[in-house]
Amino acid sequence: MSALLLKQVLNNLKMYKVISSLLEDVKGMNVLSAISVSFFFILFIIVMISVIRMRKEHAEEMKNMPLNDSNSNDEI
Amino acid sequence: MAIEKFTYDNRIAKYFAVATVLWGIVGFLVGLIIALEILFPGLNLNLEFITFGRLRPLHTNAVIFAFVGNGIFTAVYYSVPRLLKTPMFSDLLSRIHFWGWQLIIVCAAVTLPLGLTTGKEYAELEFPIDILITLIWVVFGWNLIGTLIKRRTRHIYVAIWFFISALVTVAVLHITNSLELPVKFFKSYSIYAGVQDAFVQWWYGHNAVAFFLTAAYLGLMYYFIPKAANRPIYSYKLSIIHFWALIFLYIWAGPHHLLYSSTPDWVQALGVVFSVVLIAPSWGGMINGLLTLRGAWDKVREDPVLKMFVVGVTAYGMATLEGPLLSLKSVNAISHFTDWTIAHVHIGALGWNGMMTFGMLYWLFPRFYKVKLYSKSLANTHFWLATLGMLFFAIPLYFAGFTQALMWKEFTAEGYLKYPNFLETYLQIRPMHMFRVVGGILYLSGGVLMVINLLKTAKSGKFARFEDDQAPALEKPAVTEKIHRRLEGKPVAFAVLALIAILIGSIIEFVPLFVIKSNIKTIASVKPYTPLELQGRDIYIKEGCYNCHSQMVRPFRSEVERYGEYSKSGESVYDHPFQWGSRRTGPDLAREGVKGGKLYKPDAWHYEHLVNPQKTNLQSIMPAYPWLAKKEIDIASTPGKIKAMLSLGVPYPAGFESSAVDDLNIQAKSIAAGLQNAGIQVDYNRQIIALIAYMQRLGTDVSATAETGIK
Repeated sequence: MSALLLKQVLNNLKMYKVISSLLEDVKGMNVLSAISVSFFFILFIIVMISVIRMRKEHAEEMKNMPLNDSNSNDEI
Repeated sequence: MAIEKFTYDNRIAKYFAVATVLWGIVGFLVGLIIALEILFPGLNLNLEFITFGRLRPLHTNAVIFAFVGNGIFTAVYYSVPRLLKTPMFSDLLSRIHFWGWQLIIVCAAVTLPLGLTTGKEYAELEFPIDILITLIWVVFGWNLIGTLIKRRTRHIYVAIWFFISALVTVAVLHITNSLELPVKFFKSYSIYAGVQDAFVQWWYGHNAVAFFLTAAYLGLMYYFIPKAANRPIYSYKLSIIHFWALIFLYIWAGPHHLLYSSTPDWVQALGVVFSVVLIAPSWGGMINGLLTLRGAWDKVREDPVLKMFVVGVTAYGMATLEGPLLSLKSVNAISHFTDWTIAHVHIGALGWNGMMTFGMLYWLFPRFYKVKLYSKSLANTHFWLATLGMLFFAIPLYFAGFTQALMWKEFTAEGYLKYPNFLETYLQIRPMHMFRVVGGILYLSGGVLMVINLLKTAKSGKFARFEDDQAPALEKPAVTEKIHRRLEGKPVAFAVLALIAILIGSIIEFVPLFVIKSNIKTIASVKPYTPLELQGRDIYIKEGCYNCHSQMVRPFRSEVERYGEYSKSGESVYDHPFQWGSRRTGPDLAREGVKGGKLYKPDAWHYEHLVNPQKTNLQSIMPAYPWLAKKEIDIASTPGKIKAMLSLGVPYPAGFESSAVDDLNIQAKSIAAGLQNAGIQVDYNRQIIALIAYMQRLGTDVSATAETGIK
């Protein structure tokens, strides 16, 4: 039921019609992989920017977190 | 700011640690038994409950969900309170989580040998247990999120990001893949069929590896390696990049398990592309783990805990390089269905998960009991036994994989298959399987030493249940915080973003495959199974035949020559669940029933073969199934099963469920009469009759297409 509804909604979307015609065989693969990899690169660039802009003190503070816990860190 | 005092409770972490040890031994032992059963098929002593087909799912479930699962929870319940400077949110939820998870494991240990299975690899547990898993996972999530909310540290350490991503993704995977239509108590049919079921299953299967066995264990690595080495992780910035890249990319790669199958090419290509890209974030994690030890390599020489972590992280690096290589179509053409895959997964399981778990346990027990480890030399012996065990296991299987693949594909100068008898290709690799047993014995022996060592450690100390700590109350975030730093202070937003990251890949792959009809070509001659064949198919699933036999002829000359016409996507549209398999310990059965086909055998041969395989072929490694000739078909369940299939869209005539039993009886009596003519006396209502009916149906629809053509 929900699959049918989804199908109806998608069929009414112009963009979807374009994508679905591309995905009927492997020829459309180029477009899909380009879209998919673009998603990844957008995410990757956002993460890279945020990492580059990160203050060194914050990175130092974060990486030391496991060593700041209770007495369990003592040598046994 | 006022300093607040609080206390950690080690009890649940200890419970999970003990369960990890216990189920680890069980998982290794069952693995050893099934490795021996392949060598000595009579080892099950004709007992149905311990045949290879029923025990193999028990082995995989015990190792993945019992050993590694309890290992994850040990790490979570120990590290999370300390990293967040607060006890766990609820002791009651912790206890429900622990006992609920053990109940799930016990249910699995009882139902799988009974043959109560969905027939989907690594997701074999039937729907009542699936529901229980969902409930317990909610309890775990509630407890983890609750702890995050009441934390005293503003920012969340990278180990916890991995735990959050595992929590969120495993929930999505489990629920989506376990959507089943119950037929009766402990029997259901997957709502997906054929290609779609295969896709969902391997999206789940691959990402169970990605998020249960990998992401959660990266969390373990990011906490316990710095603790054991007493130095911070190499690069916090690298951990951010590697985390987001890993969780975003992993989810796309599932279809690499279906290369050259009848899934659409674009799905396979996506799986390949993202698998190759995955090398980068995976190695980011490995490099971060190993470089954490720079300047501490002198400690590695002395400390068994660090040794185990080093081998664990190295195995992770090797497995995550090998995985993308196996995803290349040219490599996969050789490796798929062979022991190469088994070797690959065991480098991950024995090396990465096993060694990381052992390292964690050897580090934790002395701290639980406030005493030195009972014997460092025993732990060192365990380290070497486990390392050698892993190598003795995997290296022979690499040889076995190459050997078998090459033999399957070799042609004579005249253009015939050089080894047309499948068994011949198995007998060649039998010595390698003997070495695998040696590897298993070494690995298990190491585990037994660990049990002794940890027990003695516990006995020589006193369990320190509570540990006091103190920290300032949670301060308000600075308005000027940058993107990721702000995100590290918002666990729920973090979880939602992680969810979005994994959903993007899932949706882009799912929607076209489910909605665009032309992705799965219909074949006019493919018809639903008869009631008897459907019952036979359920017996095939119950006995776990898919653990050794595939039903997927790949479009290679060597396979078409050996088995017959290659498999089409439209052939399995009524298969709830699909039964393509992932390993060929025995031959492919997709064309088994095609009269005049490469593998066709008469009913009488199937009867003899199932009751005593060594009677039809002395060197056969298939176990005997004598009980199939004695046990009755559950005929009363037939109308319900037909009704369920109708609900799932299988085009039986309306009201067919009411005449299904008559249909079944007619077909069964006809097969029994045929057997009687061949001198075999068997009642028509025996399970073996249904299984023979199913075997003789396999591939016949497409054989008919040769005349009718594919629509």
